[in-house]
Amino acid sequence: MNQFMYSQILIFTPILVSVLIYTFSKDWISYAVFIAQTIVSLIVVEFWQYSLKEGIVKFTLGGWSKMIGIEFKVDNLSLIFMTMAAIIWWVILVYSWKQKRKDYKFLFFLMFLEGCFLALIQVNDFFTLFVLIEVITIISSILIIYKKDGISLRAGLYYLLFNSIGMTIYLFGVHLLYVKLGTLNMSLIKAQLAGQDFMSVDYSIIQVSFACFFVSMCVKAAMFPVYEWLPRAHTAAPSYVSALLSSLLVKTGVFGLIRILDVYQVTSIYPLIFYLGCLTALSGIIFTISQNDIKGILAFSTISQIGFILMSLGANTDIGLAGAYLHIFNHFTFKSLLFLGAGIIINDYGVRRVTEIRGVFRSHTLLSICMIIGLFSITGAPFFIGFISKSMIKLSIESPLQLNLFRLVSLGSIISYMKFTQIFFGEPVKRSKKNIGQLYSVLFLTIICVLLYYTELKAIMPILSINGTMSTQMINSIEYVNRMLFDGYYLLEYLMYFSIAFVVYKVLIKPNNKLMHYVRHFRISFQDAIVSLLVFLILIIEYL
Amino acid sequence: MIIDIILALAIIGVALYGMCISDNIIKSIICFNIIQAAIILLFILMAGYTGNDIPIITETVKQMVDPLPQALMITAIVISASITALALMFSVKIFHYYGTLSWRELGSKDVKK
Repeated sequence: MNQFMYSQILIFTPILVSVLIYTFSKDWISYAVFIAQTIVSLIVVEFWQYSLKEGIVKFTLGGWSKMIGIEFKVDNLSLIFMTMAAIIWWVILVYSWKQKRKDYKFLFFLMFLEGCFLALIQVNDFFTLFVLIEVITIISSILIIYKKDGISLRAGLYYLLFNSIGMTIYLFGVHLLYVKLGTLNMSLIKAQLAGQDFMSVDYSIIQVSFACFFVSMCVKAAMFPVYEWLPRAHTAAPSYVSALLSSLLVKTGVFGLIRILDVYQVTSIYPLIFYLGCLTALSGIIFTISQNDIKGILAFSTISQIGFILMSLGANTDIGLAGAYLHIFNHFTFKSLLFLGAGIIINDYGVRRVTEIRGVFRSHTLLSICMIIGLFSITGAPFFIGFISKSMIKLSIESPLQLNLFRLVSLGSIISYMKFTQIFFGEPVKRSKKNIGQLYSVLFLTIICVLLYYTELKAIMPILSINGTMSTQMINSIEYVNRMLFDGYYLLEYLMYFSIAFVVYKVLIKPNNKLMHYVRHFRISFQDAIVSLLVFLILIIEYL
Repeated sequence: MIIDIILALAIIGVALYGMCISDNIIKSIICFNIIQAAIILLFILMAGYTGNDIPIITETVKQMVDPLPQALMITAIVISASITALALMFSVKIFHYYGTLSWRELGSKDVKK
């Protein structure tokens, strides 16, 4: 079988299974999700084997020419996203199996979403990207409101409308691009735009279309001025949906951003991406510190971690791109771990405020160990995987100002989790029955988290060489990070950061401060969010 | 032709202005629909740049409409319609739950909780 067939099976197996489950609505048919997942995982492995030998895979659907047809492309970024999708859907199905096995509507939406996501990450065409992102927005908003209470409905509506308006701007960009170039295929557009001077008057339409694409992807990736939808949606959704949204679906924006930056090659935008990423991270940290809700902390910290990925992309080097890839995967692992663990704790304690949850270490020892591993990873401690990607990002940064900003943001990400740790101490308030399936999926993610520390840097070299040969600088920097892994100096550095963060948390941050209260309840209304989106769009057009 | 484009852009501007100032959820959804319709109009106008004949190749047809934007816009219309349907369903449920359709009042209920 050729790769075209494999790709089609990969997309249509989950969709077919979802339709089957919804039409039959019987108890036995819902086990078909595991068959679908097995097929998907096997095909992802097959794709890895093929791509590591042959390089990038490309094919056009339906035998049309490249100019007007839909082209699919599988490169290393798509493969990383495919692996993440295969893992997270296994984890979520196992986690929610006991509650949701008879909820056929939920399984329908979940599996349909998987099919659409697997299609999205292979797309090499601007309009198909639009269609699939919109479909994913619609289905994920249905999953967000799944509890059907007032807060989740409001968050779902906000998410749906705001993201749709972002994608409307994208559609306008598609229009401008088609007027100028007459095609929507990314590879052809890249070939046409290569070596052109973007600053000339002829290309002003192309510049505006780039600004439209950039802003819409900023909305999807929850970048600095336009991230208001994310904390609402991620706190209102059920925990397993939050894990899915926060670890994977928010990165569709990052995926689109990497693709668009690759097509346009606008060099002047990269410093802006770095500073926007820095602002995203800092504002995420400020909001995280003020939160008392356990899911609010995790949701806002997603914003700050997206900021790290953007800072890495803003370096405009191979190393920066590699750092972004690594951090996308690492953040996926530990954020889904933390969200699922938080889901178990909320389920057992019945409250969501961190000040009311006590003694998790006594009542859930194994879960606490898993979550502590997740917390060390997300703050970038040595011997945990967050360290690898953060060192890689640090290597890609050159100027001293940017390096200091990066240090500040790393320190902030440690401070923002200080409040989270208090749930482990003290006497347990209440104990209740544990759900074994939920613990299995958290354990699985923890094992990935621990094992990756030894294998990730060995794996990244062949993965990066799928897209072409690597520079010697790249290989040198990977070896440099590899030597850093078991170096005691960085452990001391982390301890220093940790103690500074502890002091700052104890001395400066008072929970009942008026300022904290203001920041905690600071919400941007829908109209203001639209205004900020438009102002952001105009500023980007002016900047280019 | 340039007048048509300016009019379509003006529709987008009006709808964006309405979205920025209107407090009602239903009005926001209507504005979203107007923006989508204007962009679809722009695509359909663009298809006519190459000619006005129907895109079926016969001996008499010389300058035909570009069929690709029309094919794309069918998909865009479907997406726009489904988002509208879903958003209206959400707003009905929100009205049942909170008894209001104003963004501001919904926001103020958040602070109280």
